[in-house]
Amino acid sequence: MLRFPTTRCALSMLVALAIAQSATAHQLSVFAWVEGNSVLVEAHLPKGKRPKLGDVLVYDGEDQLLLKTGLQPDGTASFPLDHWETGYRIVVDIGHGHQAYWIMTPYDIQQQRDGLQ
Amino acid sequence: MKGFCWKRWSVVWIGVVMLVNVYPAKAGSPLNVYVVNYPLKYFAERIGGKHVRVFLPVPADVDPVYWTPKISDIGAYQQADLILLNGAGYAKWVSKVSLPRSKSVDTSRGFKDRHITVKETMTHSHGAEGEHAHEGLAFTTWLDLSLAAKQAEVIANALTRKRPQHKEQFMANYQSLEKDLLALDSRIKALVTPNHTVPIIFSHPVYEYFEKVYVLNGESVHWEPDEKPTPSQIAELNKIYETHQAKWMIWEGAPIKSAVNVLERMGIQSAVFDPCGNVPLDGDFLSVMRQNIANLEPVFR
Repeated sequence: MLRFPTTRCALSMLVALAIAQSATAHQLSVFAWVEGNSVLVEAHLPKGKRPKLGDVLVYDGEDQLLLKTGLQPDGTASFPLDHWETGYRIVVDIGHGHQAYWIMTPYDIQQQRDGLQ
Repeated sequence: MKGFCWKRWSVVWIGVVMLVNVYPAKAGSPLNVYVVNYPLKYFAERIGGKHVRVFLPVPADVDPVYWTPKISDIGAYQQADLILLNGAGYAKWVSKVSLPRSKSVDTSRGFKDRHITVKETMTHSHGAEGEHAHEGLAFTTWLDLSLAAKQAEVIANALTRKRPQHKEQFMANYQSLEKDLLALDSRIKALVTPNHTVPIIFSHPVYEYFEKVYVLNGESVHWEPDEKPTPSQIAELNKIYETHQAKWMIWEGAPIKSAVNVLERMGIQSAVFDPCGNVPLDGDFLSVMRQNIANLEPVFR
């Protein structure tokens, strides 16, 4: 696993996502990372657009719904870093059948908490 | 004093156990290789032999392209010694997780210039954009068997980097596999080339590499082998048929009787060419491809 500071990793992942999106039109993508005691979520549409509305559903490793929240108008959301021992599957649903997810394993979370990823 | 020693040794022992778990494959033990589809699994097993354990955690009845992994599945990929990706946008989940770059190998990256960009023929309409189509890369790269051989070569090189002491064995196994793949390629060419302009219909747009390399005259629809075609699907086929009078539809799997009947009424027969993205019920990659070629014989003879 690459040993990057959290912010550099987040930036490089966002760049990678932006490149990937340019190849596939009309695709929602989600990225999430740990910052302090929170998990930050960003949803993206191609061409730099952000969804303004949508549900954010957070599941644990047993696929139990841990929490449901909404996207902010800038396409972001956050939630407290609790019950992360089995990881998170973060689903963003913006309607019209457009849904995407991001998976954070316990390893990812631990690495990001330690500032290693 | 005695109690202190026990305590110290137990700490050392726990440390050793943890190291074994963190670094699962030592130089002599088989490499744990995680893959994203069956062709890569077959290639890695053929090349790696007893020096690899290859895992494809996708259930047998799920198309690996659209599989949604569990968190624990991704944990397993992250702990693998080597992760073999197909590339070309295959396995949509890969862009939704964090995989260690140092362990990941994109087996089609070396022929990016031969990737095929596709525009989905099925458009849909919603939101401010109105009707639109989705674009992306065609991903069943291995259906051009010469590209499959290139992917196998990338695997051989990746295994060699991990276990240089087995280079000779890996390369010998790769050459044997390459020979088999190129023999299949030659058989398909010999079969289809004399009649490659015969119009055919593909039941799904997953044959792009196959169509391109063997210069076939195909059109794709979106039919599922286990579903009766809907009136709109039949209408779509009728429209294609006006300018593309195919006598055969090529399916990913054996179609249900009602679909076969619909086609027969239009004078179209059915043949199966299984892309073999997931582990076959019987046989292996080579035997499935041989059966595919046999199934194509009445189409091109």
